[in-house]
Formats: sequence, structure tokens, C-alpha cells
Amino acid sequence: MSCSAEKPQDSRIWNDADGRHLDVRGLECPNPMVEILGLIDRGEAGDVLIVHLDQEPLFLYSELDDRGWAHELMAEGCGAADCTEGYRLRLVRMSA
Amino acid sequence: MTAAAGFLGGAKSRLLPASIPFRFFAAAALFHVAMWVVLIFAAEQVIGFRGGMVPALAAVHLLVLGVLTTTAIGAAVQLLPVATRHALAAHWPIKLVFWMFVPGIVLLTASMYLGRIELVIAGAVASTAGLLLFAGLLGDNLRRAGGLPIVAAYGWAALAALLAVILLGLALSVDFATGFLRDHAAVVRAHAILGGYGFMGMLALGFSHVLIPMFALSSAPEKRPATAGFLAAAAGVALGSFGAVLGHPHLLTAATLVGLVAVGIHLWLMLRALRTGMRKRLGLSFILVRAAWVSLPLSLLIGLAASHDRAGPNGPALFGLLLLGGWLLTFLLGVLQRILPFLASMHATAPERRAPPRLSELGATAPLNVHAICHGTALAGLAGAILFDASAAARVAGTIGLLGAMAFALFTADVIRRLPLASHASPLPSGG
Repeated sequence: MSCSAEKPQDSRIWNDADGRHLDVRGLECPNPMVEILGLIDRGEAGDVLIVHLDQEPLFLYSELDDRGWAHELMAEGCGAADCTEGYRLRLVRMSA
Repeated sequence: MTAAAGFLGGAKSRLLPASIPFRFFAAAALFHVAMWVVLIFAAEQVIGFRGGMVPALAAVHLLVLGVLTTTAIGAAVQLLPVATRHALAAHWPIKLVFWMFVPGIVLLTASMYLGRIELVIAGAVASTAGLLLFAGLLGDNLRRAGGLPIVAAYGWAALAALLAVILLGLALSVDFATGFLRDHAAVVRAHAILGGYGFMGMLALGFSHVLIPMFALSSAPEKRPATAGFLAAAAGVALGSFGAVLGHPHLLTAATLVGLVAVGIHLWLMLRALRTGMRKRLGLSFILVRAAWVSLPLSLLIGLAASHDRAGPNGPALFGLLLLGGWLLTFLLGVLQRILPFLASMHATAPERRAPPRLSELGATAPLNVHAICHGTALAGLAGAILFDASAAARVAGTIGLLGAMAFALFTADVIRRLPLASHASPLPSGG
């Protein structure tokens, strides 16, 4: 299962050297957006959050903007070497 | 950021060019204005409307086909490919839908207004051809919507209702010229139930399962009650359609009761989404949405009373107002004023930009305030005019509704006008 290469088993949230990770793949719309914003609003996202998604969250961007978070789409795939499925989105807190 | 920008461009390939969905929204805004104009001129017939080849029929079809269906097509072809992650194979079919459907509606409703039966059939054929092509595109996308089972179930039910509506609509058009139907009025009732609660109603309920939680920032509704709600809604529409065609009052009563169960489950799910959502201040659009939610069960109750001749002489007209105006139009306008800026922001996310423009950059709010006041006043005035059989009051209500429709058209034009400007706005701070 290459798409869970970076992810600890049975966990949607984990920390790595590049920041906190959140995996929302497999969730029904709009739950991915709710999970991401919930983490941010509860102050549990840290300063850098890398989100693993099934698809690009087009409706999320204006919400991030409103909360003072910048976003950047990373390379295609979930992070495993041979994987081209899914998206990774790097979110950075821009304001306190 | 170069790689990200390139990737963003690839992801955005599921978006149609903005001109495609927005041509449907622009046409719907114009049909909305035209609907109120026709209603003003046909006020005498509107307040006691029960069907038949009269100008009021043109107003009803401007609303159902021109406003509701045209908007639904524009929204569905834009949102479904994004949700299902499968782009349309080509752009020409949906452009062809527009060029068959919209002129078809113009011909159909103009000939209904003028009572030109031969042109009604031509308009019905043109708009039907467009709808059938849209049905093919919708079916192809629903086939891939495995991740949205409830939305897909409602979509398939809406598609089935659409095909039945088309069949009955064509039969009614031909019947105006030939009189081959044994009971024209019964087929009109089934056509209205399938069109209002079946096609448009099922689409509205289905898309609500994604849109309402998305606006409120709450989790998707639970599968089990959502499935129960869908089954009750589908059963209610089927029972109501058969009851109408067969002229069976007990079936219509059963359909209403099952429909009320479906509405109860749906509203419970939606209100729970609002209650648990992260966004509490939902603004003007949700005043309209809540008003629509009140109208939906009311339409069922008035429909039941009318089917048993207990709603007064103008009961069928009041039922039509609550179903088409109170529930579907009010809901659609409430949702549309939120998704138009959303869709615009999706298109405005140019590769050189880190984030799309804020939604407030993409639509003026003053026209929406004017529209909401006029829309509510017009519907309440029309309901009063129907109850008291007062055509002058209906004309005044229609004039207020027209002002509201013009304000909404102004809002739509403003979103479209700002779209290219928004895509050239200054970039936000770097994310990395």
C-alpha cells in the first residue's frame, strides 16, 4: 500500500521533521475541509501543516486565507516514491 | 512554486472554462426577470392557474426550465466533475446543451404565451433534445460518483424523474394539438410532481448533503438517516406520480405522508449540520434557505388539501407557488448567491497566484439585500393575491418580484464582471 508510506498505522495525524501531517484521504466531502479547518481553529495545527488529500480542495483556499494561512501544493502523489495518487498541500501560518 | 503552479494547472483541468457554467447562470438570471414580467401581464390567470395553454403556463415554464433547470445544469456540470474527479470528456456537448436548451425555452415559453401550439411542440422538442444530452452527461458523471453515494442516489432519482418529465411534457405538448390523452389534467399533475419534487426536488435535496455542510463547515450527514431520507423521498415522488396519473386520492395522501417523513429527516439532518458547524453566521443566503425549508412541508400539506378539494378554489395555484416559488426558487437563489462567488473564486485561482480572491471580492452585497426583501415580499403578496383572488395585488407583487429579479441579475453580472479582474489581483504572501 504505497499511499500510506509515510503515515503511522491507524493515525490521521502525525508529526515529522517537515511539520505536522494530516491525512484526510478517503473522507467524504466536505469532511476533509472540516477536519483541516477544525485542526487549525482548535490551535492544534502547529505552524506548518502538511495535508494529504484525494483531490485538490478548491473551496478550502478562501477559508485558509481568512484564517491567515498560506498554502502551497507540493509534488504530485502521497509521498511514496512510486505513488502518483492524491495531493499534498503545505499550509503555513502567516499570522498569530 | 513552479512545480506547484504546474500541478495546480493540472488539477484545474477538471474545471470547465468559466464561460460555460456562467452562460447558464446568466441565462437563468435573464429568465428570472422574464418570468416576473410575464407574471405581471398574466396576473389574472396566475392566481387561479390549474394548467392549460394560457400565458400563465409560460411564466411557470420560465421559472421551472428557464431559472431552475438552467441553473441546475450550470452548477451540475461544474461541481460534479470536481467532486467526482472526472472531467467531462469534451466541452462541445455541454455547449450544445446550451444552444439547444436555452433557445428551446425561449421558443417554448414565447409560444405558450402567444398560444401558438405548433411552436410549442417545436420549442418542446428543442429543449427536450438539450435536456436529453444533459441527462447523458449527468449520468456519465454520476456513474463515477462512488465517493458521494447519497448525492449519487439523489442524482439517479432526479435523472429518472427528468426522463419521465420529458416524456410527459412532450405528450402534453402534442396533446394540445391532437387531444390524444384521456385525462390531460391528470398528466399535468404528474408532470408537476415529477418536475417539482422529482427532478428539481431530488437535485436540491441531493446537493444539499454536500453544500449545506460545506457552507456551515460541518461534517457530512450520517449515512443511515440520509439513506432513509432518500428512500422516503424517492418513494414519495413515485407514489405521488402514480397517484396523480391514476387520479387516486389515497395514493396522493400516502405520497404526502411519505414525503413529509422524507422532509422531516432531511430538515433534521440539515439543521444538525447548521448546529454543529464551525461557521455560525451564515448570512442572508441562509435566511432564504430557511424560508425555503419552511415552504417545502407547507407545499406538501397544501398539495394534499388541494388534491382533496380542501384548499379553496385557487388551491392548486397556491400549491404551485409554495412548491416552485417558496421551496425551489427560494432555495436555489439562497444557494446560488453563495456558490456563484465560490465558482468564480475557483476560476480566479490563476497559476501565478497563491490563493483565490476572497469571496467578498467577487460579488456585491447591496443587490442581494434588495433581492431578498423583494423576493420575500413578492411571494407573500402572491400568496395573498391567490388566497383572496385579487389579480391587482398579484400584479403589484409581480412588480416587486421583478425588482428583486433585476437586483439578482445585477449581482450575477457583477460576479461575472469581476471575474477577470479578480484573476489579476495582487498575490498573497508566499506560503513557503
